[in-house]
Amino acid sequence: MSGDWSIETHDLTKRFGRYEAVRALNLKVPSHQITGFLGNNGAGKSTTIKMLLGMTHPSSGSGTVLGRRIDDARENREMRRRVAYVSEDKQLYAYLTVEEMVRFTRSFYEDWRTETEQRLLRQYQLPLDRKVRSLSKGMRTKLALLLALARRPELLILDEPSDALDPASIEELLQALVTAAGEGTTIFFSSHQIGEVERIADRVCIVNQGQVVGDLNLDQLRENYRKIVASFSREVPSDLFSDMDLEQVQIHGRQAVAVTKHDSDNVMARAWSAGAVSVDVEPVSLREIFLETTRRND
Amino acid sequence: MLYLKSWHESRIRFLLSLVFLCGISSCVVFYFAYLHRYDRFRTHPSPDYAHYIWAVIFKGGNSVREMFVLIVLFLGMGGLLRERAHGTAAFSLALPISRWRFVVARGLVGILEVSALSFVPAVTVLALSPAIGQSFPPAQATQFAILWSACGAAFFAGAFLCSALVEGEYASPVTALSALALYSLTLSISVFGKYPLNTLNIHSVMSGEGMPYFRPETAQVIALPWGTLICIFGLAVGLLALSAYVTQRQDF
Repeated sequence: MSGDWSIETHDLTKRFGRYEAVRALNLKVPSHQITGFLGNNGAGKSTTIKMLLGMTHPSSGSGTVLGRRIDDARENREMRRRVAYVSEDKQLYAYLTVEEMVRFTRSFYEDWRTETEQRLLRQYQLPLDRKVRSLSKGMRTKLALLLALARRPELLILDEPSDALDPASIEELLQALVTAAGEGTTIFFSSHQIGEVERIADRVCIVNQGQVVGDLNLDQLRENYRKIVASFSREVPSDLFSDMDLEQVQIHGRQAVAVTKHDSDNVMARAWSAGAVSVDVEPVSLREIFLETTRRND
Repeated sequence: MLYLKSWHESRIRFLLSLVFLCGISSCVVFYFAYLHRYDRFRTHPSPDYAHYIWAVIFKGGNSVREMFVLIVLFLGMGGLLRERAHGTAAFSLALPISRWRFVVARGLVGILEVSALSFVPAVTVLALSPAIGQSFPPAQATQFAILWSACGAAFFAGAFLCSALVEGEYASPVTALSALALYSLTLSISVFGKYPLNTLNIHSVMSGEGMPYFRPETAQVIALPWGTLICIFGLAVGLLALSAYVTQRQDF
């Protein structure tokens, strides 16, 4: 593995004709953590994942997964022995039964763990003799997770794992990811469901228009980021925070809202000195950071 | 396991084809008995059994041979591009296997299926002829089956290449059919009608018509054209290799 990073990309770019799906993407995913890859639909998440796994060839730039170059077919194949992937639509071979699907996948991995396979089969109550085509999307997701987790992969990549799942299935899925991370698997999952990412991720990479526009440690976000809401009895001075390095500033009539990383005391002091009648400090949610970051980069 | 997967993917098409070829060949055999009994032959004197079987099964022009070629095109559908249309390409490509191995597995299983189907009319004719009081030389049946195997492999590989180039459940077989029609049309030009240029016509190689190894008076193959068959099989391998090369470069 390349040091502390399971995934690293440098100026990774993918063009489809004149359209740039991924633009000079620089991504670092730390090992042994859960990293959410957050972005709106069409932000370039799936294309990035497909390039990491060698399904799509990069137009330019480079990247490594578990220290193996993604654009080298042989190295990429070696890497895929240690990486599990759950695709967005979780389509598996419809013509096989659950048992055949498990047997088929098992044959490609020497490190397959039969006891995990059996445990997950029981836990997910997957019917061995049913054809994959007759499984619901929730069941198919569980089967895809079983096939991924029964190998104790070093890295588990999931593309929109909770897409079209019911709340109970989402809960089970998130629990499985947290358990896998607890066993030492690095998890990298794309999503546009901020609530899910906020719930289980240690770190979040925000992607917009094919570029990483934010890289946050969620613990740091919770500890360091603060939203300061200052109310005034008159119009807010237009230069109130103009010389301060803030993450976000919004002024609406008699109210100013600022998001700061480390500087909440100074921001509050500035608001009070400018004649604020009340100053409130609130924690910042990932949703606010995400919306502001993507808006700023649109 | 990849071979088993390829078999699972195509087995329904294969089994349907097998039943169809077996059924149609049986009908051809029993129809001879009907024609013979009620003297319904259009030509006089009525053809002997060997001529009849060659004309209706092995020759061409509304024959079983043409249906076999269409079936082979149908079997040629497959590969990772087709998997993308079905949504399973992501799972397949995430396995620690090269794309070459996927193509080789599907190609080999397909060629084996085509070979098996090549023998179906021959075996059916051999098995059912005694039931109508006729006989067909086993050596002739085997030789036609071998001709069909090699030539069928080339048609299969062509269809497989179309499947690697054109995405879509219907678009790739339509492309393969169009390519076959274009090929057949081109070879219908008179210059290709005579030996040795007619060896470029795989249809003629299959039926033996106009070939030096075929004797029309007895409707019998004298000796198999091994050199031609090896070249045609080489063409099939080349087309499969081209499919693999195309697949290797594709984005999924």
